Amino acid sequence: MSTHISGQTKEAVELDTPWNVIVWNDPINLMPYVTRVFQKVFGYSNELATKLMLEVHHNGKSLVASEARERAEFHLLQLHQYGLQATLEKTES
Amino acid sequence: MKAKRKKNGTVELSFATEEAAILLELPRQLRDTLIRQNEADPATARLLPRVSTNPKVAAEYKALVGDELRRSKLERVDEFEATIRNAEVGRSKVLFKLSPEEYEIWIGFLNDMRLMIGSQLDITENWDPDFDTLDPDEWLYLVLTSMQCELIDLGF
Repeated sequence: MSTHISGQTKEAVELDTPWNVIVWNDPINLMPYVTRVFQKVFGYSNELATKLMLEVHHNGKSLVASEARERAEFHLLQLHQYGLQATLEKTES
Repeated sequence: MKAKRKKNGTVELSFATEEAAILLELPRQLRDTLIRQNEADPATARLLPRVSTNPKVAAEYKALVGDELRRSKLERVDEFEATIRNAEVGRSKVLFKLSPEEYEIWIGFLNDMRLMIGSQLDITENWDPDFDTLDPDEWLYLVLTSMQCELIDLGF
């Protein structure tokens, strides 16, 4: 079986590959503030936003969204405008 | 500061005159930090954080988004300053009547101020200030934190 991937197919795979938005813990942002930011930026329920906020707090970081690159870039800018420490990471395809 | 949200969504903040005076100096401090972008100042990295652990991704993002984050934060400083100018100044109190949009501007501005001062003070999770020996920046950080907590409680 051939393992060759054409340029076009590779491009299509890259376009489909989701990008991760990671939020990192910091000692300054207040916990209820971070929860509300997740609700505002992603439209998450209070329950999910709280769960993600606690993940950030206890684990040092949390994967808060996995989505198309353009959308992830848009959300990253919004998180930075709210003052959260967030990064954009490419998932392994 | 006394804060309340009215039924029509506006937020009223009432400050003692000396309390309100603290607010006047804040926009200049944050604006200076954002304009200077001094790499030796930890506030710069905290206000304008890294965008990826991958340098190639970071470079591509920078090419796309450019200076938008800094520009939007500077714009928010101007907007905050405009709300200060619209205050109703009484004999012993200063009253701010904020629309829902202005309330959001205050939340974002105060958070940026806390990020700026907090990173310069190197605040950690275990920070335990001695209230008898607070320096002016520590005092300001605590005042702004208290202010932000009250604002968030109004339903950010």
